Amino acid sequence: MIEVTDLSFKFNKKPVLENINVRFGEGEFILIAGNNGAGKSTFLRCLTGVLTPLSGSVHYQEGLSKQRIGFIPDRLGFFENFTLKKAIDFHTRVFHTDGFDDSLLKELELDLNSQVKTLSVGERTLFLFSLIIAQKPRLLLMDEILHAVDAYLRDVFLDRLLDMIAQYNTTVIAVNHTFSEIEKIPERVLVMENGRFIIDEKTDALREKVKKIELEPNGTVPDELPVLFKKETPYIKEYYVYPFEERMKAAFDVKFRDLNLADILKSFIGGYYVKKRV
Amino acid sequence: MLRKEFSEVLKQSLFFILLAVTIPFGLKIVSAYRSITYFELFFSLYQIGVLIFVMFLGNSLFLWDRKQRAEDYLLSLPYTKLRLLGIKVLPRWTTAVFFYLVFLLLYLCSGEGFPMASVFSFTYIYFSLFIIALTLSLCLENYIISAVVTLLAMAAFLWTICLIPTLLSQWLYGVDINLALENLLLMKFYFGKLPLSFIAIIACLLLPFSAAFIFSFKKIGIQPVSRFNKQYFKIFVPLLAAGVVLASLLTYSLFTPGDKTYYLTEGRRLIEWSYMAVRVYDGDSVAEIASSSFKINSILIEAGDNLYAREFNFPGDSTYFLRLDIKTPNIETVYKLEGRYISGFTGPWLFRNTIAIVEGYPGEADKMLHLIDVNTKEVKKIKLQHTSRCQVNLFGADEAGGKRFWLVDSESKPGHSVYRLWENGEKEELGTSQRFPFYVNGVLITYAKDMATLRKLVPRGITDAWAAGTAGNAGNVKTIRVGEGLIFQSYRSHELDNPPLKEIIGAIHDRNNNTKKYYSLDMENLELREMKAINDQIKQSTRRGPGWMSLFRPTPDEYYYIEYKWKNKRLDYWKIYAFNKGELTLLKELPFLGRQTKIAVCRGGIIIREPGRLNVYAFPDLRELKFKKLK
Repeated sequence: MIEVTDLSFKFNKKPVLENINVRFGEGEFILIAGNNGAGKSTFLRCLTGVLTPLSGSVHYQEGLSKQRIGFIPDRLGFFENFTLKKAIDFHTRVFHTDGFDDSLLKELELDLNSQVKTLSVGERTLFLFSLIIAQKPRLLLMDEILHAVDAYLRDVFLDRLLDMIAQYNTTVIAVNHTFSEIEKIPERVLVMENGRFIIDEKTDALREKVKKIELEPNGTVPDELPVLFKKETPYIKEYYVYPFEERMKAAFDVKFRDLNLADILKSFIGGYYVKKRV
Repeated sequence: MLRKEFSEVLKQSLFFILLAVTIPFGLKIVSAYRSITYFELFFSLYQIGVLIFVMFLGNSLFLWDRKQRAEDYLLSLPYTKLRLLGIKVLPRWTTAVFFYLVFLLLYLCSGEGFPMASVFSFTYIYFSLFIIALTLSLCLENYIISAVVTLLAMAAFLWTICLIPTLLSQWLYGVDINLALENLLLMKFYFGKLPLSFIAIIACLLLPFSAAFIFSFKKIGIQPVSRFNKQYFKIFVPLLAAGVVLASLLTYSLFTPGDKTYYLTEGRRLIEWSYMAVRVYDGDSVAEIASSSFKINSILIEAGDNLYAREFNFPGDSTYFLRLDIKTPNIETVYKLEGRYISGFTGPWLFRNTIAIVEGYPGEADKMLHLIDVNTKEVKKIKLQHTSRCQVNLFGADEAGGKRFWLVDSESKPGHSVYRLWENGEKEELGTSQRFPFYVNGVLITYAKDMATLRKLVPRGITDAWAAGTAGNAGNVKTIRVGEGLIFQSYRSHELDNPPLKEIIGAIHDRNNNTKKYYSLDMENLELREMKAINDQIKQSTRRGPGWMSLFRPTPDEYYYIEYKWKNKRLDYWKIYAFNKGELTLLKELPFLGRQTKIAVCRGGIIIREPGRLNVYAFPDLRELKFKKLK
């Protein structure tokens, strides 16, 4: 659906994205994780055309028009003085949509005559999302929009998101810093570090490749183990191993534990900061 | 999207219209501008206001989107960037054109000569400012800083436009840079004599702004403006250099040495001056005075072989008063006025060998009279103290009891107060006048409503008959009925040392009905006679439309009635009549004059200039004079 070739971008002289080559397929749900400043938001903006890359290209599948691409930026920016009614009218006209399903707004009891600027962050997120649903999107790009949404609205959002994916076979590329609530959704995970993807794996495969070892404070792990990230407290030592291979279970006398996606991603991000310190 | 943009611009426009309409009302109520009509005030403010508004229109291209942090949404809309730019620019451009058309309409309604700058100058400035503001709109995030930077860029733009021909004129002709700047362009730019071809030069300098903006816009995003600016200036700087070179080449192709101005003396010598030189043509001969350090602004006084002129030294650090000796010929500085009063003075007036200048702005009460001996260059300064702020003019000078004096009119709100200032600084109050006073043949004339009071200050034979005294009038004072509004015209306003006049001319100007009636007053018997032939001609010309006229009296016994008519901002026709023994005789008629025709009426005759042609006609019969060496 999207093919990114040699994509690079700089802010002033600082490289933000460096020669990125990646492909995203139709109907995939992709999660992009990474430390702050890794280049995730910039990457999404390059995909939408909000930013023009310094070099390289982004090719969309033939027939995928911009009218079917939805983008919810982290800043949730919109024309603040518009009423919701005017915003809906504007968006549906500009994107030539057939209609607008206001059930989400009704569920949230949003007054259509209120201005966009009066909405809370959660309400605004769902309002923008409802505008995008009207586009029947084949591609949805979301940039870190869930962290400020309360638990109830987050559930509402995710329900609608899954409905939308099912209905329109939407490809979703989501940048997120909180992973637990979408743990089970992504099929593919990419981890970005210093403007490059250091991990690009199917979620299940990634789960198999990252394991944790827990030891007493005086315990040690063999030097041969590829430790991604180490966490020490006065009571416990944690070692995150990547890439884990099944043969390691027999080779080393330690217990390898499974990790959930949130912990896996945290270990990669933590690993970045360890490397940075070193 | 286009509808949204139009709607936003419409709101801004309505706000501007509201301000433009109400502020003049407010100012009129506050009183300072009560003497000006609402329309005049409105139009003056409109010209300034619309320039500010059009700058705002340009600067605010993405201002609201940035303020609302809606750039992400805006740039993710299903438009190409160029289409988005088109959608943003179109309503603003349409609005700018609309307000420009309003300006044109107001200009046409305003009558001749009212606007501060010409249509051409306004057009250049208006659209240049809009384009510069628009193209700088993405370079800065803050509106106030944007406005300041736009104004600085606009100033630099105007100065570059001025500088190119200035430097060329210095390089090609060795002309003093200040003079070239003043004469060649700046004055023309602001007062509207630029050729249309100059648009090409302006376009050359505007193009770098526009091109840099359009190309950089492709890189627009939510990134800091510094990235956009880097891209912008990367394109702008080489294009600007190319634009300056191209503009210079175009200027070079258009370049002509500065305007020449002419004056015909009573002795039929033709004086020609430009910033290059002053030439005196006399029949078949010509004498030249190189004057690269002088730029005569206007010749004000003719006294025998000496002409007195004023020179404004750009950029305005001094004003020179010059004497041209056309016999030698020679040019010299008589006086140099410096400091803050370089344009705050009235005069000069010549009496015998003394030039008088009154220094001081109308908003000030105290003035300084400068008396300059033109031969010795000695200067005497006398402080003139008044109780309120006023405009001070000298209208007469004479000698009594071996002492010289000057007659001073101090005009302030209630009317005119008149006093005599002796050369030793002594001040002698002479009463008040409702209108500008007059001095002739040793007689001071002041006015009440429909009366004129004649008061003999210095004995002259010509007034002996009435000055003997009759009942109700003191020997030296006579009051006569002259009609409401009549005002006698000075014979030569800058020359106070005039010959005795047998009759003086006055006029009543009825501005409401656009009529003027001329009268002559016999100074021996004080009989006021209507100048019927002239008044009939005025009636006839006003019936044909709004005609203008003036009465010119180069010598005490010669009168010329000049009639001219403007049509669509151009001189439609021009006629000159001789007035002799109560009758008018048509001497010359010039119908359908070209836009560039210039007519000057001088002491010695009239000068008619058209591109590539110069005709000089001498009084009294307007016979054409030929000067062999005149190019």
